[in-house]
Amino acid sequence: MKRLLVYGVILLQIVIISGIAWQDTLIDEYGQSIQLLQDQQDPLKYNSLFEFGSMRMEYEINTIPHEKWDISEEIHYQEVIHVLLEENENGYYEVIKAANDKVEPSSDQIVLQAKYNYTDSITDNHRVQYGFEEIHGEVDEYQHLDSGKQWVVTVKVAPWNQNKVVAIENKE
Amino acid sequence: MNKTKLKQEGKKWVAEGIISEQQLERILETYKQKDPNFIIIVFAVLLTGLGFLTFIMSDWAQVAHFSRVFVILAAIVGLYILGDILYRKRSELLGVSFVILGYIVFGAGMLLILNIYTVELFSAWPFLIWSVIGLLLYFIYEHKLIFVVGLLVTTAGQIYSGMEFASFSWLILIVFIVGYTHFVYHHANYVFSYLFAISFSLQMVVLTIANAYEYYWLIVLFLALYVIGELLPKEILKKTFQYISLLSIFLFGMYQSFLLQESFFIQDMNLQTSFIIVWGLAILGTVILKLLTRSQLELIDLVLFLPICYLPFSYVLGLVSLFIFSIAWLLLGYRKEDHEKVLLGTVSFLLSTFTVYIQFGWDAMNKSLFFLVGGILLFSISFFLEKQRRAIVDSNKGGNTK
Repeated sequence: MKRLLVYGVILLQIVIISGIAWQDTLIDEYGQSIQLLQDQQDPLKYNSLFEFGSMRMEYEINTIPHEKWDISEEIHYQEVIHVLLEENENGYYEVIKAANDKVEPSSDQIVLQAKYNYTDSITDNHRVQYGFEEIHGEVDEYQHLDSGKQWVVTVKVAPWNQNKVVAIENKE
Repeated sequence: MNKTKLKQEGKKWVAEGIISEQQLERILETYKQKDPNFIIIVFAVLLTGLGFLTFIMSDWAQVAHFSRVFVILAAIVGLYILGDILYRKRSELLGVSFVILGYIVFGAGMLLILNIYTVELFSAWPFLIWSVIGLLLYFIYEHKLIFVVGLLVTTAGQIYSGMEFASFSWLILIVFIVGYTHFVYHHANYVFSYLFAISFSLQMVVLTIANAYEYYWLIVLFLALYVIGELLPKEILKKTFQYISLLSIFLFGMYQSFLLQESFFIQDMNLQTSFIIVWGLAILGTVILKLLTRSQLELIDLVLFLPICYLPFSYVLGLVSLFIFSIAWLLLGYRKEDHEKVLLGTVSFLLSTFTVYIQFGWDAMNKSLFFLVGGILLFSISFFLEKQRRAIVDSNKGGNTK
């Protein structure tokens, strides 16, 4: 009996690790594609260049104005919240509201899980992180990007709350 | 029993004809496993584990590619199979250490794969899986080291959940309570129950901080550990749970005395009535329990569990409660000639003095009189108690001169 369990436990661990790796390819297949705009409100803001195989990206949806903030109680740093996004007429997704609990999205909407970061005391804007701010890849993968322009990032969002960046383009 | 001592005694038994020479050899053979090899193997496991963890941090491992997954899987399977074969055919300890290594590589590897495939975590579920696997491995091999490592993983997972997501993982607590408690109870020994109680206390701290409860709820949570210890029929569990509970609440008391000194902290504090109700019921239950078990003297432990912050002059009262507890333990320890209690009483008295020292020492050194009195008090207590102890020993000097 215990002999069987030994093999069972080893197999379970193999399944878990390969499962995690496999779901990454499944995101391409089952993920919903959304386009997001890079945050460029501050013209002097340094546009991070893709150099050492990774870069940090800020999106417009990282900042949530207070009127769309549907969370009344006090919230901790890194606490998980749900952000409802909707596609606008230009095809980019924008924040509709941020809530504590899960929201049911309609057809042109999508819900992303995010972690709360901080609230700007002057503008009263809330900052959140989605997890795809850190972008990894080959060094020459993003040579075409122009740091003077705003970028459009295509993200695939899987139903199991995982996502990945599939393309970054210059905005026309 | 010590092997050399057993050998000496065994030779006497052989001489007296109780056992034969061969029987003695066979008995001694069963004691072979307690050699220094144990320490060497523990260090070997630690070093190899660290080696693998450093490898995981390396640049090569940070690229999302199938080969990385394959290397990790091969390492896990190899280590487990090697461990299992060694466990059955060669040495139990050696086998188990390879199994533990496999366990560490699994957890570290899982975290690496999560990282390189940029899996976004919204809860501490990898630690939950890691913890459950630890339980299964302990169920299979029943070796102490596996249990210890599993318990460490579980505790680390809870702390990670608190720090990374500002949330308390109830699932980890359930695995901890349902799974680990079962083994702690049935295989009751000091290592397990101390680790278990420490882990429980730490998790309660995470629970309070992550859910932003008012800090004094910890009093009830630590009291729960104390009461659980009281209810358990096994002496080892009772003792360790209560020691750790008292240690936790004592450290809490020290910390609290600093907090309550700050006027802004007291202004911000929200004194909930619900707490007083819960606390009152809990303390009433404990008192009844103590009276039923006829251990009225132990009621003095409860002085640490008083909700000081609800009272005026709270921080002075907090310090006083620490001192009452320490002195009571010293007195009880001396009276019962319980050296452990005396030792713990002394340590807690020193810690209380230390707390007061920090609080007053910085601004007002003319408190020297205060310490002097404290010191003299301790001297006189020690003097009188030593005298009393001798009196007791003298009166007992009938047959047993100890």
